[in-house]
Parts: sequence; C-alpha cells; structure tokens
Amino acid sequence: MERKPDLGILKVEVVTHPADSELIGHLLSSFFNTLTTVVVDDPDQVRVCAFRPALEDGADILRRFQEKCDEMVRLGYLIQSPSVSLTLLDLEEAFWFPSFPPLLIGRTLAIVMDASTPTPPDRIRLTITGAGGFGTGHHPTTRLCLVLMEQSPIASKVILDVGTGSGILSIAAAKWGAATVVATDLDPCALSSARYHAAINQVGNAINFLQSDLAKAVSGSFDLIVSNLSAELVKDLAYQIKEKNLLTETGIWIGSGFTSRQWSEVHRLLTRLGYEVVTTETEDDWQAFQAVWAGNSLKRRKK
Amino acid sequence: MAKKVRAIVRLNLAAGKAAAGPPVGPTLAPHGINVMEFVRAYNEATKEMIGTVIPVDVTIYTDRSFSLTFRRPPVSELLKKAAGVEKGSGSPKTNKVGKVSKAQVREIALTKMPDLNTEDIEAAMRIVEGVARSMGIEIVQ
Repeated sequence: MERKPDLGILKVEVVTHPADSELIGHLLSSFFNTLTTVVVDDPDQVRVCAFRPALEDGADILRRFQEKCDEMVRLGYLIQSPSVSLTLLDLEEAFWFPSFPPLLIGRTLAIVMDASTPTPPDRIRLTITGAGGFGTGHHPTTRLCLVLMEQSPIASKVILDVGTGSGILSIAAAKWGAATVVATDLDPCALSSARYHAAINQVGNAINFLQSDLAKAVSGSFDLIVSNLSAELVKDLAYQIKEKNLLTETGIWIGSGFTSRQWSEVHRLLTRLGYEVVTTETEDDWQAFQAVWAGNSLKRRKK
Repeated sequence: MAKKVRAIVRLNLAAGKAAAGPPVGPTLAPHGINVMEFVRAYNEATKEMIGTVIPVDVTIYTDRSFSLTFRRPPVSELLKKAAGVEKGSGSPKTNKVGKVSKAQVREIALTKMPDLNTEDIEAAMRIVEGVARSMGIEIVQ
C-alpha cells in the first residue's frame, strides 16, 4: 500500500527530571526505535526528544511508553512520571534550511531535503528528508556509493541494497531505471523511512522492502549489490553474498561505510573470498569500493 | 571573559554517521549554530568508533559558537557489552536475554556517573538497574 507522503516529521518530547533522563532516553529510544536528544533547560528540567517520520499512528506506541514509565515510577526507577507531547513538524519546521541548496552528486543527481528547493532541470531530483534512516547525501560514504553506482550499469538491471537506511541508494537506482530493486534493513524504523522516501519520490512501486539482517532473508541473484554499512558488516556481507550466490557471474558489488584505515582489512578479506576490487573512491578519508568476481573484467560491463 | 552559554544539548548519535537531518538539524538549528560544521566535527572525531553510539554534549554560546564534549556510550550499550548480548529483549518481563552481576552494575554506574546528573552511586546504580530491567537483562548477586 502506498503511504500518503508529505506528512512531515513527528517529534516526541518528554519533559522530565535530569536524573531520569538516561532511563527515559533509553525507553524512548527502544519504543520509537530511534536515537534521542536531550535539551537541558535548567538544573531541574530536561527535554528528551525523538524524531520519526510521521508515517504510522504513533498513539499506540506512546500509550505503551507511558504505561512503561508509570511502571518504572512505581518500581522506584524513575523519580517522576514524565509529561509527553507529540508535535507534527512540517518539512520546513523539521529542516531549518528551507533555502538549503540542492546537493549535486555525480553527473546526474540533485538531492534536496524539502519539496520547495528548486533543482537544475538537467538533474534527477531526489527528495530525502533524512528522518529515521541514514543517508541524506550529506555524508561522504553516501556520495561515494552514488558516484560508483552512476558508473555502473543500472538500467533494466536487478539491484539489491543492503542496509538501505533512508532508502537513498535504492531510490537513485529506481530513478536510473533499474528493473527491480530489493532494499533491506534490520531496523523497522529505517524501513518505514525508506518507504516514505520512495513514496515521495514516486518510486514506491519499483522497490521491494524487506526486513532482514544484512542479506539473510534475501534470495535470488543480482546484477548490482550496494551496501553502505561498516567495515564489520561489509565483511559479514562478503560471506553472505558468496554463500547465497547473490551476485551474478558478471555482477558488481559496491560497498562503503568505513575509513581508509579500515579498508586494508576489508580488502584482504574480499580478495581471500574471491572478489576482485576494480575501483576505489575516497572522500575525506572515507572509502568505497566496486568489486566483481575475480577474473571477470569490468570492461564489457561499463556503461 | 568566559563566553555566555546559550544552551546545552546532548545528542545520542551513531559514531561517524551523523547527518544533517533529524535529530541533529531540528535540535541544533534553533540555537543558530552551523549544523553542517557540527556534523563534520562529530563524524571526524568519532569515525574510528563506527558501530557504537557516542553521545556528545554540545555547549552552544550566545555568539553561536559551540564546543563538543564526548560522553561514554549510553547505559544500555554498556549493559549489552557487560552481559555479552547484541540487543535487549523485546518483551523484557518474560524473555530474559542475559545477566550482569551487582558488581558489573556498580562498575557501569561508576563509569557513567559523570553523565548521569547524580553524585550518589546508589542513585546511579538504580538508573543502571532500571535500564537493565527494561532490556530483559537480569541482575544476579
């Protein structure tokens, strides 16, 4: 089902005693599946906040969260029962930069964070609000992945995006004309963020979202696998791709999420498992790679 | 003369992976600081710790400059490490995922005490116990 786009960002704000902020932060974080912030108002009062895409009815989660807080007060773990408020921020309130310039990436993309920012007519426009999942284009690893994707054949190809976060790589792939995109994430909040972003970019029907620990729940084989993760997770994924035969014989795997310092270890494992790294890109000490099965030349598959 | 503090904000962020969207943007922007500059400084300082949550206190001054103080990981992260579990329980009452000793609780409380707004070790331990309980981590003697 396509979700209604442009609902904005839901801000959950809990006013509480400073000594309760760690436990409240933990509960808020686990109930709403997102990281929290704490604003110190004065020595006796803090505000613990969480932000989520306003996709589903948060009322039920909120009710359970409040019950949990009451229970913790009864048991003596919290000093006082906090007061909770929900605010629906529209995109302009959620993003302080309505005039923030579009981010131009590679030769063909322009990424904006809100609907009102104009983009150059010759660029493909992606709207990524950044709520709930990693990947807004402002982090070097996201840009590196997009640049390497742009250099790879995507039109009419079958794509897998492992750890999709905000959905940005999948959405770009869909815009570049991929036949099918499968996007996974372990975090349900990231998946709802990715669905939301797919919907506002009009590619909701082109992407299949799947909750999965890396590629564990994925089957099939893919022409292109993209994965902006971390050094550890890329290494785990290297095993999964090989064991589950997820990459076609002539397929390309793009990975990032680690620093140049961590790269040599990742590179060693890739080589040992039979991958051949054909391209690397770096930005600000961040690293990305493009790999194929060893012995498969990239030449005939270049765009 | 010392600069005048406008606000203090603690952000729990994934090391090396902060981005300009929520929660960073809507939390910091109302105080007038350069959000992209914050994102760059945070990611640079924490890039070798990717995969963990590194809280940071942002002290914002009235002249819109800011300073960063990095904190210990959240109590929940320290508990997971102490209990040797990857994640907390979805139903902490019925499904216990791990155990920590009272001594480990004390150690975590001591480690994290500077961030807990209390100088009372008993109160700090109570906070750690509360988090443990809500994660399905049992405390044993």
